Amino acid sequence: MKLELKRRVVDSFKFIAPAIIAGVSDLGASDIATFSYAGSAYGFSLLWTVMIVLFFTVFILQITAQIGLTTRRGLLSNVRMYYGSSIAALVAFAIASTNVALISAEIGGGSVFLSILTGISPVFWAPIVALLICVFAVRGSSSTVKNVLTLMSFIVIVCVPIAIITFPPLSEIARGFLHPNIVSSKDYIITIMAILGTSISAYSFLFEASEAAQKSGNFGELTLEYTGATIGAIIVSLVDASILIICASLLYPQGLKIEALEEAVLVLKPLLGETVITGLIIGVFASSFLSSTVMAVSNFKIMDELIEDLAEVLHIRAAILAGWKVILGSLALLVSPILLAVGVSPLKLAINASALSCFFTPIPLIFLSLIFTKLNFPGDIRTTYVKVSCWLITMMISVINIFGLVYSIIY
Amino acid sequence: MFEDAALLLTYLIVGVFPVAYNYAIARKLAKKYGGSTIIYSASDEKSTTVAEQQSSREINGLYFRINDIKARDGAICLSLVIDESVLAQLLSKKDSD
Repeated sequence: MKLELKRRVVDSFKFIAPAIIAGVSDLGASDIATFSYAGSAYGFSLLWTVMIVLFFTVFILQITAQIGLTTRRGLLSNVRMYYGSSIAALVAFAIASTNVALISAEIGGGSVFLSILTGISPVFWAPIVALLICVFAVRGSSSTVKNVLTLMSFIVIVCVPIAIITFPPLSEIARGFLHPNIVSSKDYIITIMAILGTSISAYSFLFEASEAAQKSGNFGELTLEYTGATIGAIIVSLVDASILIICASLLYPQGLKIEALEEAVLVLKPLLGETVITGLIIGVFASSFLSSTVMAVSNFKIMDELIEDLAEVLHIRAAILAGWKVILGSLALLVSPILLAVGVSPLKLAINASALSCFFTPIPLIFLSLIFTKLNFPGDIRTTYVKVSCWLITMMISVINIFGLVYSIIY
Repeated sequence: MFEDAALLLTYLIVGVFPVAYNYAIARKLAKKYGGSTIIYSASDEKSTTVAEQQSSREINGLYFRINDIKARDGAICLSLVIDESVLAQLLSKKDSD
């Protein structure tokens, strides 16, 4: 009996742990940039977005896992089967675009953190970081390096106790979480889009669906899959909310709006000391590096599929386009170094790139909802409410995007 | 006050309930078809599971239930399970014979 319990705990952990690790590794410089800016510029008033993002992320991951488990196919394979190669190419292009945007944000942010540690300009570090990511993505990394980076990325969780020791006003936090506050300004709307973009990453749709598709398809494992995704998303949201709370408590009351990414970290120096700050910077860099590598790998895989779809649409041999995969994938990594070299601020780059990622997210999300609507569950399982909710969430994210785009153009 | 209630309701309907409902579906599927593998799923036709096929086998008078089907080395491997009570019944029948 004791052995059976032990086996069940170990089996559960095997399912839950990767989801938690994937969630925490997803945190990076773009989170630090977006949430610290949101806290310093708008106080606690954007905390409600963390709450919304948490529910949306968990729900979308549940849906993708269900699709993968039930159809035994990944998202792009499903789109290709139901809507043809040209639509699959469109979805692949949208996901690749969100990846490029987020990779640029992470490289920019990661370079700033390296520059804090070394005193050398981020413009110097950005191409080196991009090159390392390219090498890791193309050749793969040893499991030891991966494990060390993963372990280091967990340091970011230290933001949660830091937020507590800043003694934030609890009533304002509760108000921030429960009262969606919309300010009529372009900067505010872009910040909301950046929060959504950095938190709901489209490549995770692919990752979750193909992971579930590769597994045995056992219904008994679906709850464990959900539990892992939920715990991972809760940890990420806690860290994101903590970053926002720290800056809202320390900077917003003094009217100090973050203008550079390093300010977000350096503001904590008097509170935590040099050693903790150095550890935190290393942790954030490791996390940024890991998530960028995962996205770069995901981009190479998407390009493989995109090439096949394009070849079919253009009626040419896939081998002719195959050479472009590495070129396009590598060019995507150069966006950030080039932008930093021409003088774009890493903070602005991270926020705008995250907002751009949000802009492309509704495309895969709409097809995710379409495929989920087509899905029939065995037996007497009623899924109408979940299907309606899926469309509601897709529409909400799409409306925020359309509104943000129109608002940005008009004002 | 009304505004607060409306906000809370929105969070519940669009946030908490769908996630919780999905979880409930997963639990129901696990309870009903746990250990079973989906063998067919398409948009226009209903998915069937091995578990659903079990019942028909039982009606036909077979003692074993199919727990899993896997394709391995060009062959189909069936994992068969027999209920403790059915096994006891079979053994007692054999003893009486």
